[in-house]
Amino acid sequence: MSAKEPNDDHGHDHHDHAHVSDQESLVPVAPTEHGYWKSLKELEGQASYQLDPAAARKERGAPEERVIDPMHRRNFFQLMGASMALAGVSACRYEKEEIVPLARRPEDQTPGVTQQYATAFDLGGVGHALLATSFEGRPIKLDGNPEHPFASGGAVPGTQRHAGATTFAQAAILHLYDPDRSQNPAMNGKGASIEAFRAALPDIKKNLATTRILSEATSSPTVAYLRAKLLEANPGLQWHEYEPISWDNEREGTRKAFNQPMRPIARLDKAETIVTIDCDLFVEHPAAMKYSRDYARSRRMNGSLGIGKMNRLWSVESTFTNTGAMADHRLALRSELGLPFVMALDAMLGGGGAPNSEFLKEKKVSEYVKVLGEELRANRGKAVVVAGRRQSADVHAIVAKINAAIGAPGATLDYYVDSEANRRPHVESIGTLAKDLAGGRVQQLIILGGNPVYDAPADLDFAAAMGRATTSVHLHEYLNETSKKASWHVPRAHFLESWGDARTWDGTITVAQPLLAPMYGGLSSIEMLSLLLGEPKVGDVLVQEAHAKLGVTASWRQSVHDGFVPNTQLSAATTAVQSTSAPQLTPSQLGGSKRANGDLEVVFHYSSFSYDGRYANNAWLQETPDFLTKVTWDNYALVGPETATTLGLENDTMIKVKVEGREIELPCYTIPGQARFSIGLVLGGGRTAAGRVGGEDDHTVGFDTNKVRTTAGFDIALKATVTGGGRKFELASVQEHWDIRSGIIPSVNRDGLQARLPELIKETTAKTLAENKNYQAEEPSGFFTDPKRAGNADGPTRAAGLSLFKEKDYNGHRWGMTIDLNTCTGCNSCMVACQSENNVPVVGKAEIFNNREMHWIRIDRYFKGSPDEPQVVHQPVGCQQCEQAPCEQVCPVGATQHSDEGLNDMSYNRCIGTRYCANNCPYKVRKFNFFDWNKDVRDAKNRVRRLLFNPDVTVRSRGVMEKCTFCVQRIQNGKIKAKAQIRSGQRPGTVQGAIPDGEIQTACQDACPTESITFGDLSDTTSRVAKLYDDNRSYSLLAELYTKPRNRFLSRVRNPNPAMSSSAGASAAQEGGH
Amino acid sequence: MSAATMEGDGAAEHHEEAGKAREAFRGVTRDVAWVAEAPKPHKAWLGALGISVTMLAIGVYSIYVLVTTGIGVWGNSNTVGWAWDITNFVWWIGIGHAGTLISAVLFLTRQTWRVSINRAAEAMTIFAVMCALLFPLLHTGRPWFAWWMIPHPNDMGMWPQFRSPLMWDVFAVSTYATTSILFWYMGLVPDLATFRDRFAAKGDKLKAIIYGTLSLGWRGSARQWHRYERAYLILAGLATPLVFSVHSVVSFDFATSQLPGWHTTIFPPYFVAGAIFSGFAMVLTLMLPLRHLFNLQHIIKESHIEAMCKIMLATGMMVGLAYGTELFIAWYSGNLYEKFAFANRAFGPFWWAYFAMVSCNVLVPQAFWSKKIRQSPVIIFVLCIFINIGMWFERFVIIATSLARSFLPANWSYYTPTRFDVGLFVGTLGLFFTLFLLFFRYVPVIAMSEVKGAMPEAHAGGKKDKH
Repeated sequence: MSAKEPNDDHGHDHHDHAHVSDQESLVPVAPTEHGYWKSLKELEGQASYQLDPAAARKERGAPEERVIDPMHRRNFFQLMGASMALAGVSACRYEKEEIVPLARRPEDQTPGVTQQYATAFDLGGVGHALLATSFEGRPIKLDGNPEHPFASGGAVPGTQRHAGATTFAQAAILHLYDPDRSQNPAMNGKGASIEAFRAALPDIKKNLATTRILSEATSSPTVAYLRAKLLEANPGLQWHEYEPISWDNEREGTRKAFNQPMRPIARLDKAETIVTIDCDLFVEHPAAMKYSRDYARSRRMNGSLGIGKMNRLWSVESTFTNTGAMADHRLALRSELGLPFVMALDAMLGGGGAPNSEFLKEKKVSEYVKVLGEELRANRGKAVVVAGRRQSADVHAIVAKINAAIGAPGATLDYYVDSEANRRPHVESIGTLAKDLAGGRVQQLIILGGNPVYDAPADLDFAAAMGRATTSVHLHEYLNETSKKASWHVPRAHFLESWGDARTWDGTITVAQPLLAPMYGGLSSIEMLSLLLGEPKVGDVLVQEAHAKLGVTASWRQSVHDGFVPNTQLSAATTAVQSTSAPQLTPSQLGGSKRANGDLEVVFHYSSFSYDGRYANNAWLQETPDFLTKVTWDNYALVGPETATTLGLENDTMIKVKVEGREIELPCYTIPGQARFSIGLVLGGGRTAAGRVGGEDDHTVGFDTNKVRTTAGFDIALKATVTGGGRKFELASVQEHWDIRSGIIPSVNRDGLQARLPELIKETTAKTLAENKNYQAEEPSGFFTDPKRAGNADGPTRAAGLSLFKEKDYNGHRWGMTIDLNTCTGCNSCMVACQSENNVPVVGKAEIFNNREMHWIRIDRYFKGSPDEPQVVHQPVGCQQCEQAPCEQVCPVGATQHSDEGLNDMSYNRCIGTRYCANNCPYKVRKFNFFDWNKDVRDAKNRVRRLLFNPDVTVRSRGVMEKCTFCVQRIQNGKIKAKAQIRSGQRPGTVQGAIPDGEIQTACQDACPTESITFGDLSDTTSRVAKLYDDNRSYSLLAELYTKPRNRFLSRVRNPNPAMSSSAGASAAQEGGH
Repeated sequence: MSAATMEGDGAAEHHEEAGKAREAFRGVTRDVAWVAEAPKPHKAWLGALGISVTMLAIGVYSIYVLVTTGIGVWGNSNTVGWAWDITNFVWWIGIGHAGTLISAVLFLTRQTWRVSINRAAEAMTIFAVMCALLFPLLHTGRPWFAWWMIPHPNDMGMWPQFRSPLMWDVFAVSTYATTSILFWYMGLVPDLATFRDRFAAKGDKLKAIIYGTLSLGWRGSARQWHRYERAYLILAGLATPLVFSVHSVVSFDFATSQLPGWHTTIFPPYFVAGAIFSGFAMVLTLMLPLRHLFNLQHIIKESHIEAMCKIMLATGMMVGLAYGTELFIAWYSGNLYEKFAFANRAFGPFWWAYFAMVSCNVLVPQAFWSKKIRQSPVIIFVLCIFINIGMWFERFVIIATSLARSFLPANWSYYTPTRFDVGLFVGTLGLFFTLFLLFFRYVPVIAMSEVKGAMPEAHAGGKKDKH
């Protein structure tokens, strides 16, 4: 094993134990053989325990809570002993792996020091390379793998090797410790043992010829390998694949264009003009992390495009996405109009026929098409068009044609050959399956992951169809809606508990290694497939076999260590676009942008709370506000202000959405920038078997929009009717709603907001920056001469200081941070990273209503301009670490103090909770523990969650104030590491000396996919943060208060096309003056 | 020349008046002491006590839930860190101010009409301060550590942070409480001795012993009177600056912060004027019904009530001027955040609170221009209730609306109280009235010795007292 492979029996033990206890308290299990044991005696085959849990408890005399406590001391020692004994006891677990007792400390483990292991996970058929941080055998954090060629994109000179991670990837760690995870197999809804399932296996295997396997989309080469083997061995067996959020349209579109499915991947770092058609590049796209980073690099004035150049982003979309919010020119257009729009563009560039659509004649649209077309033509070889997953195959085919016409392939766009050319589209595949099931042609159904009962198209009535199969097996981490309908449910191991692999979007094979043994037992998908094959093998053996079959020659140990197999991208292709016939347009595509009720379009969106519903039980995600609406804990229908007025829909009331005779009721959220007469429905709510957090039968979170999602209207449904006037339903938003009401009160608010916005969010244009060398985002305030050097003893500032208090000298490190508003896409990665790193509690929906959310970093979102064509800006706000901190001087007990390095430190022990500091904080970044937010973790049932806590960060009690610390624990660890290295002679320098720039990264910085957050030592004048402090875009928030924040923002830069007259971008030219 | 000294010498110098005067003085004693001497309390008193104790019980329950569960039971949020808690604190502290003003400032300025109400007003001060003190203690997240605000030597080297206005509050309010209690008790001593003597004469030994202990061996000798007079004068001198300093310091909690709407130099005088305004309103709220119930009209005279109405009219206009000045300065400053803070106060989501404040505090006292109204106890009582409400809203408007809409619009929110917010406030009202009712029944509610000193009979030639 390589040095970085996990070797953590220690960790295994805790978790085995947790599992054992739950067995006792839940269901009787047959003793021995199955791998579960209750005592050493049983383990060694000497005694079999009474199965009555009450009796067992009585016998042991332990209170209930103790039995479940995974960390109880006595049990811990018992298990320590057991793990030693395990070496000599055979067949006590399901797949046996080498287990080494912790008699000696493992070579590379130092107690109290975390380790990092490369791993991967698969989301909707796309692999993501991850780096898991493990503390003494328990993983506590997930980040992107900076070594991975696709995830990190390689190092650019002057930057750190860096890989962001989506909120979903980061929050997956919470699932590992989710006490609601399925812990036992179930047969017909009743608890069963894995033995019983094994006993049933021969029968299942016998019938494989009349069996269908329905898998969630997976990119795993091992699954593909086992699938091929299985299909070969069992003629008649059929494989289906289904994913509710899928990029199949792009496959089919490229199939149309190239006669074979391709995977286009843009090189955004090379593109000067980027056009998105109903596509979110930064969160939803499978290559989102790469796209975010590349986009940010070409967005910087001195980035990948060269000095003084930056990209221009054009977005055409129905609902605001992170991408649209970043766009220089955004056109709000119904999604179904994507086709005529690209046809019009094609007519200008690729020689296709222009459609005769009414809406194209509207001035706003015609100008947009014209200016965009001209820019694309002028930027040949430096532009790229990307269409989103909702757009039809026709759109993707035409986009391929446009890209060819503007010389994108090879310059700003690469095509890769899809490795599975013959795979049927997901919707078609599940449609066939449902039909066959309903027709009684399927005897057995084996479902690997996924939740089709919840998320299959409504017209298939999958639940009923599934009931027609004699036997159905569902492998999943949770006992979800589908499991409840299946005759067998088998718990699946979490990806951090099992071996596996995945391909990132470019095809690079990425190895997933486990960090701990399955806490609750459970099989991985590949282990299940190997069981079906009749040759059960350990996960890593299967993965190695599959790789060998693929011809991988790289060292396995190296691949596990690095987390990927080098040079395994899909093969690039250079096929020319075949001529395509012009698609037929529907009457609504030919019409104008106004529609009557009954003829509206409904567009389905992924949910930032739960993706497609699968993360519903993840409290971190549920409480991470949506990037735009800032709503938590619910999904809703998005309606534009004009549409709302026309149809009589009101914010925070229930509305009825009717599509093809199916109807749901859900809350309405009026949001500016939503295309007219397009209703956005967010997926992923209304789960009835997600768990205690995400919804169970008696309480659901959000609304099940799948009920109106059908095969025909899978991504965009037409002919929808919406009726308002329902009961009041308030959405828990962390920011106030966009108030569309008129009257004096809303107008006072709106005016107040709009007046101060230019002070809070500084904006400029690329043109200004290029022409005005004296541009400064921050006006000289007169209070102090040089804001950037403020507080530096060497600087000229002190003489000018007008502060009543003595200015502090900083002679050592001076920590500082900058956040670039020009590249921040508002993707929320920093928020989840902070939550994970700093043990930030979740407060729940009711407390969100009370404005008591605890996030240490939040992302403020502001609208600007008209409700029809608003601009959106994001501003991540954590503690500004003011040098003259208003919070410090009002604390009566001195619980918040300034450190010698300029940090505003908080001592929780000393805090008595007067909240005066929060009142006096102009940024309102201080968060108060109004209740004991960690109470539920002490609940016996949830104690496993305590394993997730970062041991370097205090878990706060009730009644104390907390806030962002600039990840002071990481700073201290970095300093300790540097000192140790200096002392041991590994690094020249002095103990007090500078720490190499970039060595200490805050959690938010680590997670930020666009590298918008820079942290470092200001006393090191060569550090990146010091240089960014001197950038002319640098400004501090509310500088006139003389708080002298150590966090500075870099102003947003807009890059409008001067030819555009009315667009949002042009209005941004009100900059300059600052 | 103090009133009490006059009494000491009066009898000797004016023999011919002596009998008449003695009779008059006895009348005062009788009129005051009968409340304590009545074997059974008044039915109205019992009823009021029942209501007050019930309110107090609600408060005790609210405190229990608060301390065991957390500040989260209140409506406060991360945006609105202080709301009812500090509003109530400032309101109660303000109410206390009239008592100090009446007993100290009016004493030093020889306003003899104060004697009819000073005892009750001082008691009101003490009880109001007790209610007020509950809030700084209970509003902390961990009240069991609130003692860390008191400087005390300890081996951990922990020390309070004296730049914090909350620390100034600790000292200002504790000084205020101490001085007020001493002043009040000092003044009580001769009257407690009177009670002792009367109970002893009646043979009620228990009460005689209790009042005897409390009266600290008072015998009414000339030397005792002399020392009493000196001490009273010194305490009055000490208490006088407190009238201005305590509420100034309380206003620093806001004025020294940088929140728009709080960060205002006008706060100290504005708060003091408001405090006196609300204090007199509360004095009248308490005294008018008691005066009626216990037939004290000849002691608490109409002229006294009129004087108080005039003070309310004056201070109410000062408060109104402050409101206007705030608005003017917000506009004149040209400061974006200041301007918004005041526009938001008047027309933002808390507009109702602002208009409640302005109408109760500025418009209502205008009625006192009319002599007729100044002489009509029922109307005065009603108006005083409005003023009390208005002054509560003033603090609420300052605290909650400023916090709810501060610098960054992303944090803007709204505040709604919970039943525990209301419960605790009701509880302090209960505590206040309970204490006041007990005071009324068991302690001489009117400073008998001082009243006697201010009576015409106590003066040479029996000249009529102006008041």
